[in-house]
Order: sequence, then C-alpha cells, then structure tokens
Amino acid sequence: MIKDITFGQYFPGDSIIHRLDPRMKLILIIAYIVLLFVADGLFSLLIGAAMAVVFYALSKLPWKLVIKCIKPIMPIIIFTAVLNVFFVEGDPIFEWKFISVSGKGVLTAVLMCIRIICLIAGSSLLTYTTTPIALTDGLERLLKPLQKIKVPVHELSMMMTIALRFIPTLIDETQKIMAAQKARGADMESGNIIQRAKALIPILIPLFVSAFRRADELALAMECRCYHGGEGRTRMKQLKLTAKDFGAALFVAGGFAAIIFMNMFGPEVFRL
Amino acid sequence: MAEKIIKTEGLSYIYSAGTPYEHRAIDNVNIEIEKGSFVGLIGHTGSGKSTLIQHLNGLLKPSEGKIFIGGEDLWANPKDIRRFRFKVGLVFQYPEHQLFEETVRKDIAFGPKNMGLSEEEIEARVIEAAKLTGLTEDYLEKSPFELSGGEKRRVAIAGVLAMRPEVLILDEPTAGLDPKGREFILSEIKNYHDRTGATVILVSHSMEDVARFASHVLIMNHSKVAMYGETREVFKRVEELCEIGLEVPQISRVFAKLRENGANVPESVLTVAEAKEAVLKLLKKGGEEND
Repeated sequence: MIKDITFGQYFPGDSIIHRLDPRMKLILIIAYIVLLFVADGLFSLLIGAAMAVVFYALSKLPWKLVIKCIKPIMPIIIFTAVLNVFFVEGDPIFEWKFISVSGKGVLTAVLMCIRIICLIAGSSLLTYTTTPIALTDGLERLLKPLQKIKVPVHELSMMMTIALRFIPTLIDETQKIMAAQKARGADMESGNIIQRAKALIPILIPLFVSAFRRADELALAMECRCYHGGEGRTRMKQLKLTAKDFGAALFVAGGFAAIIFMNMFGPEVFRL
Repeated sequence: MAEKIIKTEGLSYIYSAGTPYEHRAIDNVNIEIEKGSFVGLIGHTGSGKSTLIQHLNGLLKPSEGKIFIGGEDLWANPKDIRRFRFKVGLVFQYPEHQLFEETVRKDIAFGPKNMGLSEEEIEARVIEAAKLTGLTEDYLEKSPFELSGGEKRRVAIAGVLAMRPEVLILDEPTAGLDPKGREFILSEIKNYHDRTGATVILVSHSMEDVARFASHVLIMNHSKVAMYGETREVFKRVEELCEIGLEVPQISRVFAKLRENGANVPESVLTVAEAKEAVLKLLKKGGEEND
C-alpha cells in the first residue's frame, strides 16, 4: 500500500534515455513542458504527444508504467475535462435545459487532457530513468551559478540527496513498525476518521524517534569523514555531455520547431 | 501424536511480483509444528526466516499455499485475522524500536487493550508480563525512552507476552545485547515456555543457544526448508549443515571429530553439560578396561 505512493520511482535499465546526462534531461524536460504549453492546437499538441511516445519507446520501460503514473491524477484529469466541457463559452453544439456544451469547450477539454497526460508522463519519465542521486547531482550543477548570489546550492542539494536517500529507508521503517504494531493487534483499517488518526500514533512516534536517531548517526558519520560543506569538494563521477545528449537536445529542438511551425501554418481546425 | 499447532501447505511468498525486483522469499514450505515444542529457526540472512514467521500470524498473505493455526485456516476469513495475531505473538528484531507510549505500563498494555479486555484483566496481565521479564513495579511508571537498550527490549517483549500468546515467535531477540542481557532474555523465554506450555519459535544465529533450548530445529536455506526435526537429529547431520554454510554447536563439532578419530562417544552431543557426562563415562569405562 505504501509503496504505491512513490510516484515516479526509479526503474533500472540501460537504455539511451537512462544514460543521458541528468543535466541535459532536466533541461530537456523543462523545455518539453514549455513546449506543451506553446502548442495551441490539436495537431501541434499531437506532435508533443508523439515525442513522449518516442521517448518512452527509447527508454524501453514497460508501458504499464505510463498507466501507473497517470492513474493517481486521473481524478484531476476528469475534473478538468468536465469543467472545460461545461463551462467554456462558445457556440453551443448541444443544449438541454441549463446545460450547454460548446465545440470550443470540448476541444479545450481534449487539449487539456492530452497536455496533462504528457506533462505527467514526461516528468515521470525523468524520475523513472534517473536515479535520485543523479538527479540532485544534475540539479546542483545546473544551479551552481546561483552561488554567486550566495544561494547555498551545495548545502541544498546535499539536503535533498539525504532526504531522497532516506525516503526508502523510512518507508521500510514505517512498514516494520506497522507490522510490529499490527502484531500487537493494532487496527488501522477500520473505524472513523478520528479513530484512524489515533491509530497512527503508535506508528508516528516510533518513526520520529528513529528518524532523529538516524539523523544523529548520519551527522556523526559525516563528521567522522571530515565533511565540511561544498567548498573545495571534488567529484568522483564527473558529468560529461556526449553525442547522445546533443542528439536528444536536437530532437527536442526539432519538436519545438515543428510545433511552432504547426502553430503558425498548420490547419485552422481544432485550434483554440 | 501431539496436536499440530502450526501447519503450512505449499506456502510461497513472492515480493514485488511483476517488477524487476521480483523475489521468491519462501518457496513451497511444508511444516508441521507440534504444540508445546520449542523450535529453533536457523538460516542465513535472506533465507526467508523473517518472511516465514510473518506469515504465521497473518501479517503477510501467502502468494500460494495455506497456513493452519490450531487446525483453523488462517485466511479463511480475512476480516477475522486479528484474532490470530493475539494467538500467535510475534516479537520483531529490535522490538524496542516500536515503543511509543508515555509509560512502560501503557506500552505493555497496548496489546491487551487491543484485545478488548477489561481494565482489571489488562492490569493483571501487565503485572504478570512485567514480572516474567524481570521488570519491577517502579519501572512501570517510567517512560520507555529513558531506559537502557536491554531494558527497552524487555519492555517490548513484555508487550507481546501480555497477550498470552499460544505461540510465541521471536526474531533474534538477543541481537545487539551484551552476554548478560542475552542470557536474561533467553532464560525468560524458556521460563514462559515452561510455565505456560506455549509453543515457541526462536529465530537465532547462535547454534549454542538453539542447542540449549530448542526441542526442534528448522533450517531454512535459499527460501526452502532444508531440514526440520528434533534438535539432536538435525545436529547429527554435520556435513549437510556445513554444506549449507551453517555450523553445528562447537561442542558437537568437537565430538563429531572425536568419533571420527575412533573415540567411543555418543553421536550427538549438544551442550557442554552433556559433553562432560560423556567424557566422564568414557574415562570411567577406559579405567575399568585398564584394570
């Protein structure tokens, strides 16, 4: 049950997408999100969707992962779609009593759905194919210029790395504590909201205690290895941009160009 | 024949089925454990011991196979599973990490309270469990977080004993304790077993401890049951055990070597006390022959 919460968990593999430089992946995913919002018609958005399909195919991930990442946001998608269908004003194509549906509304709803799905699928692809450590590493390098204005980039990314590192540990710990309390007859599945909230106490208190204990131990271990912040720290794994990174950049740039072209010169139908 | 308190049929469990992390933690386990026996469960890390014991009180639902506790199918009615949790008490590894209440008394009372017992009954059980684990009255009002490691563990074990389980399962209850603490915990488990006639399953890495206390030994290897039988019988199979990479108690090893070299000693010697008897007997016999 708890395992399902880790939305966009790393899925090991050795595809070209897995091996891309995390910095490039981060930049490209941002570019991709911008691109999805630049696309203003069905055809240009379909180019965006096709790009997502190509990326997933290249990553060799099982397709059911796409469904897995979209499932939790299904309510949002449906909600947005319903809202758009009924509340966007335009020439009505269907009217019954106070309900009216416009062609523009349906189109907006469809575009919104595609956009959200691509958005989630795209950003999930990033976390599916990049280890959290590589991700924060890439982020740290990308944010490095901010150090000039005294943003503690290294410290922030170290905090993030540690936080990410401890998510599975704490999930593990939670499960152990849950099992131990269940073994003593704790009932977490029944009762009203207040009873359920109360049932969490036997889990949360030991969890906090152990989180603090771990933090203490980790701080001590880091101190023992002479950790003193980011200054003068070198890296074991140097990030290097290679041909495949530039290839990926080129591909996204191509997609961008195609969408802008489609926006400007594409067919006038199915446009907002 | 004695009543079988625990019985499993073709029990298997697969972790993370359908992902690259898929792993068969236990595979086709068929065991029958007699009521009132003291079972030592031995196996390497990752051999499936912990997974197996979590099935016995219904914390994990088997992927395949069935479990019977006292003749009842554990999963016949999933809603009724809590009943078995009180029947089969499970003490996890490092159980002191699960303490949460303000006072030791309240923490020990957590299990009995979940059973829906009356106030008086709960109080009686808390006192009883505290006594069994050697916690005096003045401990009961302390916060569990101010106790030492060994004391915390005693409180945690008392929390399970207070449910008066018919089957008591302990996952390495002595891990990380000093010799005195180990001795104490082990003797209190033995005590509970003798006094209540409960069935005990003790997961341990110490062959000496198992040899001393267990009537039966269950050996797990690569997710399967490698051996199950009376302690003496199992520890006779020195070579098979070595093949698995497990050891027999030191003293048994010494006596196996003695037999190999032609000394007339019994086939299975488990404890130092037994060894002493055997050696004395041998010396006496030798003396008579020399006369």
